[in-house]
Amino acid sequence: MTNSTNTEASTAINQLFEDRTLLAKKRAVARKRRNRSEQRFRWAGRLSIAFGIACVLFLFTDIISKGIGAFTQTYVDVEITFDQETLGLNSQSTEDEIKAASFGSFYKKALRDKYPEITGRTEKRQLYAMFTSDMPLILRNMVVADPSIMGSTKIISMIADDDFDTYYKHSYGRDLDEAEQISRLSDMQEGLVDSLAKSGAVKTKFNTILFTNSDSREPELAGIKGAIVGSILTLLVTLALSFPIAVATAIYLEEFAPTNRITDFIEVNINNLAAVPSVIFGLLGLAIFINFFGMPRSVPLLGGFVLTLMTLPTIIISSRAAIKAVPPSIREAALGMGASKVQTVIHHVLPLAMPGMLTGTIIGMAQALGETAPLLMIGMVAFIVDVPTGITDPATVLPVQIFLWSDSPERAFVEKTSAAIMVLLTFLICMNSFAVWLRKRLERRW
Amino acid sequence: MNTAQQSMAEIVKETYQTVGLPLLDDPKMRVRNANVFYADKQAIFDVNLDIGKNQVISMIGPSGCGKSTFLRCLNRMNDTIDICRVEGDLLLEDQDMYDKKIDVVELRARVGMVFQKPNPFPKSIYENVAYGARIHGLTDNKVQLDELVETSLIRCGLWKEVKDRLNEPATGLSGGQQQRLCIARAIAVNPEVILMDEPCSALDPIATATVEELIHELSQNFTICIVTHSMQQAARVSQRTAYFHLGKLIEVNDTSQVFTNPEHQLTEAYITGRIG
Repeated sequence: MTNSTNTEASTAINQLFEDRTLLAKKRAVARKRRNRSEQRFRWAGRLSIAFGIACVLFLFTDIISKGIGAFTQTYVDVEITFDQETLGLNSQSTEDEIKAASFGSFYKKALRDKYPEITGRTEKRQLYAMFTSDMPLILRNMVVADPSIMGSTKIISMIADDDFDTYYKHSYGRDLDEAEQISRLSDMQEGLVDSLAKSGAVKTKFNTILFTNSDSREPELAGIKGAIVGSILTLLVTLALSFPIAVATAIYLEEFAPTNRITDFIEVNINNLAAVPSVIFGLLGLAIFINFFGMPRSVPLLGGFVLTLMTLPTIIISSRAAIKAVPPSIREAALGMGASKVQTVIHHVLPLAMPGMLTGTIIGMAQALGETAPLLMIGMVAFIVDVPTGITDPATVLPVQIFLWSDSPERAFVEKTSAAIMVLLTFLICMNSFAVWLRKRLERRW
Repeated sequence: MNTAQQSMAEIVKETYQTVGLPLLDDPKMRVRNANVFYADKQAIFDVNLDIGKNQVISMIGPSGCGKSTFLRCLNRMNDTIDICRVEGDLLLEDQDMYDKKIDVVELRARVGMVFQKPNPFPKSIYENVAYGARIHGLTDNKVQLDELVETSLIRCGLWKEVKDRLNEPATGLSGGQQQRLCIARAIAVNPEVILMDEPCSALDPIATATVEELIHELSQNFTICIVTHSMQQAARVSQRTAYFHLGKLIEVNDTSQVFTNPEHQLTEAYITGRIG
């Protein structure tokens, strides 16, 4: 710095301190700059939030608009006569013979009677194909449950096939372009839909099948009951294992473990585990639980083990944070009273840390509920029609069911996929709201 | 460097002699050659001090002089700090408090503690007072426990204020009430010694006066060690006063003598406000 600039600078400073209006001007410039940058900062925040909300709204509208259709199902009222002759039996037939009979004849005959003009073999097949292929089984179950209906004539709500259902819900009676038409029905079948609809026999009702059936190859018969039960069983196993293990680990590490290299190493590893991609846990489960211990594959017990590995770090980290947040003065008070270390933890630290621990657990569970990748590795991706009755029955879970359906080509499965996503999101939102409520409820001040 | 600091550097050498009367006949607690370390840093140097039965002894000194550290050695609260190491002989009625055979829980039941910040448990007032009796199994039934809670609260002058809301959370009390509750909680297990670590520093003057009065009353039955920053408080509540400086016990004498006629020039510098 030369002398001349020094003199210039000191003149400027002198001027500044003599002239208060100049000071005020300079401050005004600085204030404007500050205000502008504060505004920019605020707007950046608002825009970020708006972007987030827009994404969520887009996701929700997309899923809901695609999936809402799956909550209704098309039925057709058809008058069916339950008589022995149609089954090719007579009044002397035994019960076993009745059970073994071909019950499909009932509705096929009823349809033939309703449309006598349809005579060709292909046309007849097309007519029958408009109803779910499970109709014979459904009719048989009706007769087995109540044999007295044999000989009577009843109006039966028959479940429409998925192509019929999709066409009726999305295209029928609407003024759509060729390209927008969703129809895999033949012209003859579309004509039949039209005539049935005009006669008032076609109805759409709330789709209870979605919640009472398990997976099926037929979209109109596919439901998520098996997947929901599978998810619940898997989560129960996960909760029963991960909560006690995580809480015990957190308490030991926070309250009892000495600070040394070993505990540092453990801490680093727990944090690393939280960042491991979940599919790795699936591979681990495959290698250890199935290949080494020979556990059965596809079962909720195994799924629970794998998800436990995955959620443990989450719960441990949040539990440790909750324990750390308990003020040391409470521990001192208890120790000063002559409480032992364990008494201090159980009587004072644990109750205070519990809300935080439970919140972490619920968030971990929500994470586990939405997990797909590790379960694919241990075979929970199998096509399972039965509802699991225990943790050692083969099962699938909701997100895997969504994954399976999203792979299916039928238009009706696209709808079901979105519907299953809606159910899963509902569960997740409920769990997270419960976590928030619990935290608010149990939060204590000290 | 002012004169006081200069003189301190000269006076407080590695070896030093506590002036006044640190030792007593038949004391409650006996401390000989106590040295305390935090890792490599020494916090207390060669302290020799006797604490008399049913007396109040106050410990004063500038911040960081080790008086709180010393107090916490007396019921082994320093055990909770991993890096803290205590050497020397600390005896409670001729029993070595740092003996391996001593149960630290038992020791803390005999030497209670009241902390700087009121720290009631976030439970009901009743549960706070009953806690010690519960964990040490002092009472046989609910009636006895009720009686114990009532007696303890009465002795702390808190009974009238809280008798109608024993089941309400203790955290709802005012600061002074909370501190008296903490004292009630400490005396409910009838300890022999009560350690108080700046019990009034978080309280307003009126609450402070109440607590001081309480300390005075309690001294008839308990031995009390109180650490305080307020020399007026030390003068009001204690019979003996110990002055600490940089981890060294400089002077111990009767309170009246310490404040009117200190023997050591550091003590004098402190009480006249030249260092602190």
